Amino acid sequence: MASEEAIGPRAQEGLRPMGTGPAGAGGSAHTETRITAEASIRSPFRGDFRVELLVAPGDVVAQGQPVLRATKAHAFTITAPMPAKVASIDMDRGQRLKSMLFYHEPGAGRHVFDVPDAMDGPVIWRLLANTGLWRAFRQRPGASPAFGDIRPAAILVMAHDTRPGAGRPLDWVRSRGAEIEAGLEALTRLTDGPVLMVRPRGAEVDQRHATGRVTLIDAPDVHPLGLAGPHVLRHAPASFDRPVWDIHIEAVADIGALIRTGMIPATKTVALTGPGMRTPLLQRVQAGADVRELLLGKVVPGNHLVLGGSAIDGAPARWVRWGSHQVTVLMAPPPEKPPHWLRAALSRTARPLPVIPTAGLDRALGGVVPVMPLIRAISAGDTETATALGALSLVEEDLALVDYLTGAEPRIARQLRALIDRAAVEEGVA
Amino acid sequence: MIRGLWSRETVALVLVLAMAPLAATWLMAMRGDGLLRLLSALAVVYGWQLIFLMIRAQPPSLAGIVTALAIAMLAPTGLGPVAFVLGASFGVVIGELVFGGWGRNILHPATVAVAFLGFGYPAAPWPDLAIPAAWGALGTLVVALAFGLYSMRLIGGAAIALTFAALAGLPVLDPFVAPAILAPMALLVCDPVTSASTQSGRWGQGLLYGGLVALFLGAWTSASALQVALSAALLANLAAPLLDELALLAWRSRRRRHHG
Repeated sequence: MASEEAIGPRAQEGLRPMGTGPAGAGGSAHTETRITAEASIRSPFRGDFRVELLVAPGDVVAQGQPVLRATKAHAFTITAPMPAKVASIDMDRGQRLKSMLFYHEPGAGRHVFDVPDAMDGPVIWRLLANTGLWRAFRQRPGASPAFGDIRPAAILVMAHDTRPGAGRPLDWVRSRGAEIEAGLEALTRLTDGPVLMVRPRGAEVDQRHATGRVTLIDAPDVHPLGLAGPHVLRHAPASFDRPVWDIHIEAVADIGALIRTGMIPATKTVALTGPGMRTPLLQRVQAGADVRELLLGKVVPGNHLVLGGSAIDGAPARWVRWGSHQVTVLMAPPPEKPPHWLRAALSRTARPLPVIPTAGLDRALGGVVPVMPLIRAISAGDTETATALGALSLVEEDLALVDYLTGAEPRIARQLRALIDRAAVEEGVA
Repeated sequence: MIRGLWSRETVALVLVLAMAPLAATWLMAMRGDGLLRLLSALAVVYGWQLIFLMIRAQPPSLAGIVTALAIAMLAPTGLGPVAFVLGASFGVVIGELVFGGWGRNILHPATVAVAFLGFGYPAAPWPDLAIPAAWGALGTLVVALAFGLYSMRLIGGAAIALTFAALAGLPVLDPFVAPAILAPMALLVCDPVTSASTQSGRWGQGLLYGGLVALFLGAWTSASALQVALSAALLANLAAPLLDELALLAWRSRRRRHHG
């Protein structure tokens, strides 16, 4: 029986940012499966990711078949998102991956992996590396995919999402109890520390006989308590010596499916939301699906801004990113007149803009950390204080609400990224 | 991608609007004299903001209106125009503009200006605030609290300390003392930029303000009520970073006990 823990009253603080119409995106009743004609995979890292190709343009590949592997660690591969013909491969001269484009070939089938019988931690990690599922784990500090021979200090399973317009992940895996159980079992072997599952308060998780090493965290339905950051900060602070991973509940079910069948599930659930949609909806799509094709005929007339992620933390996207479960369509603002020269000069010289404390800001990290001292330390580039206040446990999306509330320029989230990069160099782990 | 409303100038605008009850009650009591002081203070504040705009490309802020109101209401009376302009200038430049403008300052510029004038011209009498100013200050506190600009903990801490002071027989509810305590609180002590920014620090600052008011009321019998409250406000303002640091030390030690 899994243990349960409700988070304390101080950590129940949060906000409900303006939603962008997710009402219909909660249930699974209207989820249709859509495989787009084109799909693209991109480098999972911001920086250097050198690869060796296992296929060439024009090759036909099965869904789940490895198409490239990391030069640094050959066990780590990236797989084809659908049965497809390899259309193009974009790499620079240093063999750094930029993108790979696929055309759908329905007859190319699915790749089946050999799943070993004995499943201890290293064996499971090697299996996940070989099948490309290593990218499902996001490591803190740094927000990069877990890579190499690492054992995390803790793993957080996110069965909750409170971003505006996000769907309800638990509804998406309602019928996958056996796979979740197998996935959770595998997770417990990847770490000697706790496996924490964050779920909406009062929700039931079908984890059947999942082990006693899984601790359930009930989180209220206020942002940012549906993000991993506040829970990592509260329950398992991350550091360079003790990295912490987080993973989406649907990816846990995918790991379970791999262990049970040897195949990688072909689709994942994505919520299509935002004021630019005629109706918010859920779709099951392949990783790297073509967003334009997904939205064809589903948006209201006008110019749109299409984001991968939510309205507050998303970035313009052409393809559904690996690990992303939301696409937000905003109405593009009309082109702005260039500001008066004096105003433009003032806005440039006054950076970073001052941040004024408000009651909303106090709750912008769920009440688990003093927000203003943390923002001041990040803005000042004070790595030592920011680290002491838990900055290494956070990633950019955790501070998106702070940026939304304050209109900070440059964004605090970007300043956090720069600070963590600097801390990594200082610690010699960059 | 989308951004919320609470930029620096939105906060400043709401703060100015929250000051309306206090400004209105004070102006009704002071009439022409008050208006003249307010306009003079506004001229000084925005004169310096214009200079810093031209020299250092530092954007002006609506919060200057709050600074001007505080200086006009709380500065000693009977000063000549030179002393008034000198004091207000010292507060605005040294207390705020040299740090980069509102939002980056450590002390409230009006606190600096009033302290400068109080120490520099000790013979100048302190103004008497009429009882409607107490109601105006309460209105300001409620509006700013409702918009999330002022901290409930800070106000709560001060209220607790002042309640104990009243129970101890100190004249905090006296019609001449109450407005002198509440007006600096609404104008200076609760300022979101310069007050404590941690939850425990805010409790501490509120308790400190109320406690110092009680102490000075009991022990500093020669001072006027406003002088007592302004001294307490200055010391509570100066103590805010220390209180924050203590709160962070306590937070870190709790975390160390929990997580090693």
